[in-house]
Amino acid sequence: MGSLAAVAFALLVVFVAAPIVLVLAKGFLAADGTLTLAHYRRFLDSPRHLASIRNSLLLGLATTLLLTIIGFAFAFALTRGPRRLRTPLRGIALLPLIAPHYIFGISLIILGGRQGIVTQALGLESWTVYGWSGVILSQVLSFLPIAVIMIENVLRGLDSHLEDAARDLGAREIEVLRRVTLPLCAPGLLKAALLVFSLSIADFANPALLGANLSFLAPNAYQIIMGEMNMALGSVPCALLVLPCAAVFLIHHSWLKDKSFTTVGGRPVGTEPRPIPPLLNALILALCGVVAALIVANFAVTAFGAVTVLAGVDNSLTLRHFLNREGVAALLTSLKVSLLVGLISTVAGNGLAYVLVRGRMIGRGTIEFLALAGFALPGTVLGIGYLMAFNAPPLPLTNGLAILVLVTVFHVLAVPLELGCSRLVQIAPDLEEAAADLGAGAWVAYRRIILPLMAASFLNGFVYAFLYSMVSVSAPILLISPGRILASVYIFQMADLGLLGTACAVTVAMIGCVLLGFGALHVLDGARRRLWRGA
Amino acid sequence: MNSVLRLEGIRKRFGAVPVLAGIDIDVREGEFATFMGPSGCGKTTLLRIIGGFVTPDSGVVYLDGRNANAIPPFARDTAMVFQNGALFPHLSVAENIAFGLRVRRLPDRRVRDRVRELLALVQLEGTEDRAIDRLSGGQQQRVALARAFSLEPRVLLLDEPHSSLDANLRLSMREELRRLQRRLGLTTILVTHDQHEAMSVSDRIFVLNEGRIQQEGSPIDIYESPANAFVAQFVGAMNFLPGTIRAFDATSGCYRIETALGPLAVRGASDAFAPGAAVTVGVRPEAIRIGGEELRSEPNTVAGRVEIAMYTGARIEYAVLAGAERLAVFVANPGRGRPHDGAVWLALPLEALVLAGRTS
Repeated sequence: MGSLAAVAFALLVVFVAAPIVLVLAKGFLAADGTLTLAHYRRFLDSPRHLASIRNSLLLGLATTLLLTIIGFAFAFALTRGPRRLRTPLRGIALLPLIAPHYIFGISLIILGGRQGIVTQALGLESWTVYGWSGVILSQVLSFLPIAVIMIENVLRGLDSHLEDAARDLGAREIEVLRRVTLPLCAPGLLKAALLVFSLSIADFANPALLGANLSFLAPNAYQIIMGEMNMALGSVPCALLVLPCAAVFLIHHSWLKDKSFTTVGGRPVGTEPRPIPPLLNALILALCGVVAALIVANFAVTAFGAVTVLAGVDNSLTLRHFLNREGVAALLTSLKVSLLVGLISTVAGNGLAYVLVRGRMIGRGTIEFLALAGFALPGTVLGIGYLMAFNAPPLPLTNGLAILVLVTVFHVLAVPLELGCSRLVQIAPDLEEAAADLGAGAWVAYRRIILPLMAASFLNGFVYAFLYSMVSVSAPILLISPGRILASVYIFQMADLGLLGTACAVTVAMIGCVLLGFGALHVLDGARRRLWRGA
Repeated sequence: MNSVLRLEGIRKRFGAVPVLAGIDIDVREGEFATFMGPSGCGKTTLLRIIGGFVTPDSGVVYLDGRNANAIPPFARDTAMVFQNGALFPHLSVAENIAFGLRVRRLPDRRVRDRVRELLALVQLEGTEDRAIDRLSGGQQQRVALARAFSLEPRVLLLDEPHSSLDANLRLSMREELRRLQRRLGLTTILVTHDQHEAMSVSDRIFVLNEGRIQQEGSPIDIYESPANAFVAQFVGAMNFLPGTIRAFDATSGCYRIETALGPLAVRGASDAFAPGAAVTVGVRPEAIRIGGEELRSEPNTVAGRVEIAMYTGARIEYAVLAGAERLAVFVANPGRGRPHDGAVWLALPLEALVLAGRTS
């Protein structure tokens, strides 16, 4: 098992560490190879570049603040609110997961662009969705599922007896919230906020589509690299993008690691809905209602945009956006790449998890760190790193699909790896010992005992990797070669060119593919359960 | 005696599942009452109804004679000690105990004095600033008690408070709880599935099963005169012998009953059963005497053969085959003796036999 771990380590060094080191180093090297700070000076001297730093930070703060509040409102409603509303609210809050996260960048243009449906209906002259309002709104809606899932987990993990005890001691609901619920959730809320912050800073597509004349770090890096072809200068915003991610990553894994008042297996004592004070209840439900309505409206507009000539301008129905050879080709390429990414990262992640957990490898920390680094790094930075590392010998990969598969595999590998590790830790080693005792060799024990128990971890890892690969745009957009475009990139480019109908149609088709895929997986999973139970 | 807590016709179902099917209970001032039953019998739900956390479908909770159904937990004069304590992990020992006082906005000085007083009561002086996770299980238990005492409740509610402690600690906490309860004269309701705990601390026990009270009474009543087979088996162990009434002997006041062990004499009221009626004779394993030929002369003696003898230290537990029956027999270990083996005689003392009707 040691050699397997060594191979994994080598691959992670080549495909995660090396590209990043290359990107970061480039910014400190002059053309003649000597050390210099000239690129940094040049970047910081430009008002436009300087503004991109400030704007990205402000955007991160605004999105994080809003999403922490909205995410908490949703999580509160989902765990303590009216029973009848929980399922529809959860469904709507998680809806953005099945679409590319910049779907809102597109639909908001249809709604609030210069010729947008809302803009025209209200007769707005000076206001459009471009600029701060659009970027913040699109990010809030895009990252809502992550925030809701994380904060809901925190609230679910809270021992409800603690809240009961507070009430028993004379605290009214609002005081329970202030004195017990919120303080106990604080570490979890902070974790969620940090994650949202890093996602917001690293986001490429929403600011690129809706930022108008505001510059942000990730689109700025893309522009410098692809527009000006200036690798050295492009290294500077990359370094600035890595910085907050690294900080968030470190805070997560050191400072916050053991700071949790909630447990994973908290008892689901939810038999009685909690008597939320009417005012608070109304406030929370109103907030959730507005946000849910926005999500539904945006999805509806996307569907509308896909079947009309130019939504808001010419609303006559048409199917021509779907009859688009390029779009279909891009979608097929995406499916091929995403299936490969899903399979490779699931098998590799779970295999690696087994080697690391059961083999008690010394390098486990380092390998997990490298995988998590690949996950935490902004896609833009990883993409630029691959561009620098694999554009020339010894590993010229930039002209093909392989590099698209590779960059995404190493970007998502941490998810199946962590899922596998945490599942394996729960499976007692005596199960394998018992199997060995009964005469099963290592491979048989793995196949007959571990694999069935890990099935859910495999499935979840695959779903995540596949989905991520289908919708990710920030790294692939740097690495596509002519004729081999991915649907996610295609949608973004069409939207960027103002061909909103095409963008909507391919988005709808992509959502259709994803849903079909989920349906197929569901059927397969049912078959697997029956099969293993029968065996 | 004043009735502090009265429950009238309490019913509750969760979805289609009936959890409580009509509970009527009256608890007197200063009484230590226990709800005992297997898991799922509804005892915790009943306690949560009293605390105000669960609303009954029908029925009324009276506290001090007043209908308390509409009073929310924070305004109810009850205090609950939760399973595992439910201490606030983000607050210190002192702040946990002070929580209810602070919510009532008592002046700082009075809060501090009261906390010190309560800590002294549970013998935890000097732990004010300790974090909760730096306390042992027993100490956490005491803090939870002190916190529950803080608002001087009329009724103390204990939800399996000792279930997470190890056996020795549980024993000493049990003693301490009883001492404190007596000293404060606090009306207390304990929920537990542990019969030893229930028997050792309670003035009165309510045995619950399937949402109904099976029997209420003192520990002695419950153990020695179980109302039905469920209570008999849940509290301690009991051998059940099916039999048929043959006759009633007026001079000894005993029925003659034909059982698989042979004829047995069992005391009973003369008009309870007619000859030919199907009955069950119950006898606790520790009431049966085991020995050799010397027991033959006693009444209700049967011959048997030791199938298994388990030496458990304080006592020896036998499984004895007698006739077509297998009887459990527990004998206190006198020390230095060897367990009986092979053929033995069993004596079933008249005063230990319980008689119940049976639908054949």
